[in-house]
Amino acid sequence: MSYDFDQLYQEFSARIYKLCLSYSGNQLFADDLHQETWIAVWNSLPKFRNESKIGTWIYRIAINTCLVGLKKEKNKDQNSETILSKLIYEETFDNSNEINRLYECISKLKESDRIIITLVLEEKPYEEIAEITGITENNLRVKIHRIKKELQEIYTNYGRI
Amino acid sequence: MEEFKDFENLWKKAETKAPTKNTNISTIKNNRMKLKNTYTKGAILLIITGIFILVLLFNFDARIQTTPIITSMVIIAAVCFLQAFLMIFTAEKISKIDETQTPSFHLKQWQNFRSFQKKQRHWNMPVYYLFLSIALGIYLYELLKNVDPWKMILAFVITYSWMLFAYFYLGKREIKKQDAKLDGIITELKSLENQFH
Repeated sequence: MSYDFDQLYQEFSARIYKLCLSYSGNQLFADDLHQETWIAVWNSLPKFRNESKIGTWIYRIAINTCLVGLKKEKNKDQNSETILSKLIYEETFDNSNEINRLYECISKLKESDRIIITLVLEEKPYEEIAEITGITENNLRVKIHRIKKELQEIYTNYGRI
Repeated sequence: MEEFKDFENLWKKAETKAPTKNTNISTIKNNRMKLKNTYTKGAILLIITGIFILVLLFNFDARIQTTPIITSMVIIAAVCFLQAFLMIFTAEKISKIDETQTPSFHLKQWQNFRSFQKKQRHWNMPVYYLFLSIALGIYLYELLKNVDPWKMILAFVITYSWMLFAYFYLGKREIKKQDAKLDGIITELKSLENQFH
């Protein structure tokens, strides 16, 4: 079964973008990560062998892009451009302040935790999260329980520090 | 937000729009491809340099085409080709990194690549300097064999002093800096990988 890139983009880009936003907590970085992911999908699509679901496969690319992509960006953090982009993001991005707050809170978690919790919020079954992340289901259950608690704490304490 | 369920509802309601698809997506390179291209371009430049040296050699006046001159220039061209081969090999290693694997495996691939880079820098520099010193020595001797011995000695002293300074001071300092940078990257990749166990 072969897939049409445009169709995949239409179907998955919003979800992948949400993953990039919650991973980076910043629109500028998220834009970069999102574009990097789709370039990788474009280049790897001819090699897709239907060994997993196409969604699982795209999520893996996105996660791997986020994991190695943000290191470079961290060094640039807090320069004027970033601060400006954050302001624009806070002012104009999305119609809800609460979701922006949630993205930012998720980005304060450990890297793997950001990914896992985003997949949970996307309502992916544990089996699929395990397949995407390569973590065993049992281990995943323990982790998810802990991450949920941690996220609630961060969200509650948001803005207090 | 008392319950996790509230986060789930908020997530579902969020109308986050993804950026529109870039129409030139087939022509844009991602970071991995850019890194690979740096090596490929470097290799091409080195191959062109090597070929240029050989072309120059064949176009030399017959009087200058002595065995030592030919030997030294061939050594320099060979160094260029070897270096180019190494760069192509490195580019191949980068292109083999598979972004569709599990995060742990993918991070391991990057760790292996960075370790390879670190090892390669350590043996690459001495070999490069050794060949370059031999080639330059032969070349200088042949060029200056008819001048006053003190002038020849002076030329050798200046050339090799600079090379020793470049190798033992500048080169080692650079290696140390690069090692620290690569160690930092490897440690970070390892700590990320450990999160997926």
